[in-house]
Amino acid sequence: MNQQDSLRSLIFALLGAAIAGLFFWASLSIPAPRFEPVGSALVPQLIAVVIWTCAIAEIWRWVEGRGTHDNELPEIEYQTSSAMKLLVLRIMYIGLFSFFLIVLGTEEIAFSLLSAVLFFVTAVMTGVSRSKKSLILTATFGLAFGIFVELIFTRVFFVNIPTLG
Amino acid sequence: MDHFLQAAATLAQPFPAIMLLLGVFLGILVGAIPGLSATMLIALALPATYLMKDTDAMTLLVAMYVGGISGGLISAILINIPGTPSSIFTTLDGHPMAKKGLAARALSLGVVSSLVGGTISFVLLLALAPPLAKIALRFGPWEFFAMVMMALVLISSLSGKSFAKGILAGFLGMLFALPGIDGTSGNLRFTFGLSDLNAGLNILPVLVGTFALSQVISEVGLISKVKISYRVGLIALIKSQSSLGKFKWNLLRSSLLGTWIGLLPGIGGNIAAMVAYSATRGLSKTPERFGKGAEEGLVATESANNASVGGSLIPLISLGIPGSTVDTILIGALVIHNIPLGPLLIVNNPAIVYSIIVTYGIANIVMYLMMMGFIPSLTRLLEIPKSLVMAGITIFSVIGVFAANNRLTDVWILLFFGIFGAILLRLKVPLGPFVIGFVLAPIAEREMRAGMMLSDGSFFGIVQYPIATSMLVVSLLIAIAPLLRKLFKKMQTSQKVKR
Repeated sequence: MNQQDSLRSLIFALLGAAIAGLFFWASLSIPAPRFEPVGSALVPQLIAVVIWTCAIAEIWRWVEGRGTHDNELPEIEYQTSSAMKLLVLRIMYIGLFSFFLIVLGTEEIAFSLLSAVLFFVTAVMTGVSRSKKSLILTATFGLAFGIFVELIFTRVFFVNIPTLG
Repeated sequence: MDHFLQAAATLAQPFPAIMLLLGVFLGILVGAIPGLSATMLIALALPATYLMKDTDAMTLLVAMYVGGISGGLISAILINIPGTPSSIFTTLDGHPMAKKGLAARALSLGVVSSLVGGTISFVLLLALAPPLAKIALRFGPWEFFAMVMMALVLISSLSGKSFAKGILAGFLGMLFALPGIDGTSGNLRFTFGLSDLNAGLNILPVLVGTFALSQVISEVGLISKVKISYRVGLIALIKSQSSLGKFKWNLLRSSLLGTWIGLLPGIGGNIAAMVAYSATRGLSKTPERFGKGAEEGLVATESANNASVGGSLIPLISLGIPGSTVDTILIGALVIHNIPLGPLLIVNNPAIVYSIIVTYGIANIVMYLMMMGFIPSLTRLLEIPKSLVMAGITIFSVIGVFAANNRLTDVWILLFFGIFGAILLRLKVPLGPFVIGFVLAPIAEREMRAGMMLSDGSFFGIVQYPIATSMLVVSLLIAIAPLLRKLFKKMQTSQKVKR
């Protein structure tokens, strides 16, 4: 295991332990069982304990492996600058996706138009060519795709989404 | 036999037949495009099955499964990028063959091997699943609980580099299945003040988010440019099917191995292909040719990975335990159609069970015909920009999840699990155990609580049930095996130092 894998395992262990902690804390407010021996809290608490045990094992592995990877070359993908750029782009995408859901929830704009925007944004952010021609084609295709999906889901599956007109 | 013939007759009707053809075609298409997997396709297709009859839904999904596993060989051979994880080992000999100008031979060998592997596995599925379900009918709550735990431990131990990481992912998945009303006591739990969580987390947004949207989020900012190196014509493909008889023992051995490995919970086609490849190389008179374009290697991997699909369907049908990650989604489809899982599935819903089995058998033949017919055009489809595919997946994920219940909350849950799945991917955590934990948690909790009621509130009541106890002991042994191995290594090293 290289240094980055080891660090990833550590982060995952801490994340898992934190989530298990949250569930364990929430389980303390569940009422005690009255009609059966186990109750609603025991199973989640047992699961949390297993998660903590695994997390400790992973943290131990990280502690044991520290200092043994000094001669490794850094992977290009994870060099700090590009990793930060990727992280920022992904957070931006998640933000845009959330904005799309908020607008969809207002039921003010047709699904076809909204999905055309989301299609375009996703295509651009996942690497479609940035030439003018390609962007126009992607936008047109996205709009056609949005209208197609809206028609299928409203006329065939009778889904209640805001439509054009 | 009646149910079998009935299922075959149903599949001959127009709508199920169209679902079968469509499923295989889409499966091959998605399998052929690197980065898109059968798992993702089946998760995305799940919402569309809401309005279908249960048997038609399973026909579509199983056909996609067969097509998806098979389609991966096209890009593995032509561009050295496995379309699906199952075809990783196909690249070892398939691509060198293509580089030597034998692309048509490699493709046709791969397709025929897939057909043979799938057919042998189909026969075993038909022969083994119903009797196994009859045995499982004698199981009580403790046996089911132990079986679920064993499946989870096996899955976790085999799906990643670190056992603890796999188990951690599996148990995290179990935690996420708990919010909502507890079915046994009626208590509301883990809603964290959000009334939308009172009904619990729906399986659909969790699956689609974890498998599909997570992939899109992970692709943001990355640019992949894949160039097609080879074009293959239909006539060349047909001509290349000569002298296949010399591989008959290899095909049989690899298919049996593939089925057996597929049968073990959580082990996918990639492990089946690896084991069959290693076995064939070990038995070969010319092992030095492996990795440089050995036809035997290609035959072994392709027959084994297709056979693993049939193998993985055996525990699903007979025990209600997923044999692979895709099976988890098939379980999701059954849950959506309110079909109870477990050994009673075959007793109460034989139509569904036999439609799965018959679809699997016929889908293999359809896959063979489609692959032979479409490979020349499919090589061109590999040139579709991945970004457009990702954009399409996003829209389908949103509308598919929303359409299932007309609930925007489900789309927010989709986004949450998309982000969570992307984090897991970034941290190189296997998604399989997480999702399987999510699906199996309600069964495990229900059976454990029922077992404890039987044993007057004591967990140790399980020792009165030898099958359940032995399954738990096996799980424990699997769990501590890495630790024991490490200790053994340390002891060996210290002994060497002393000498």
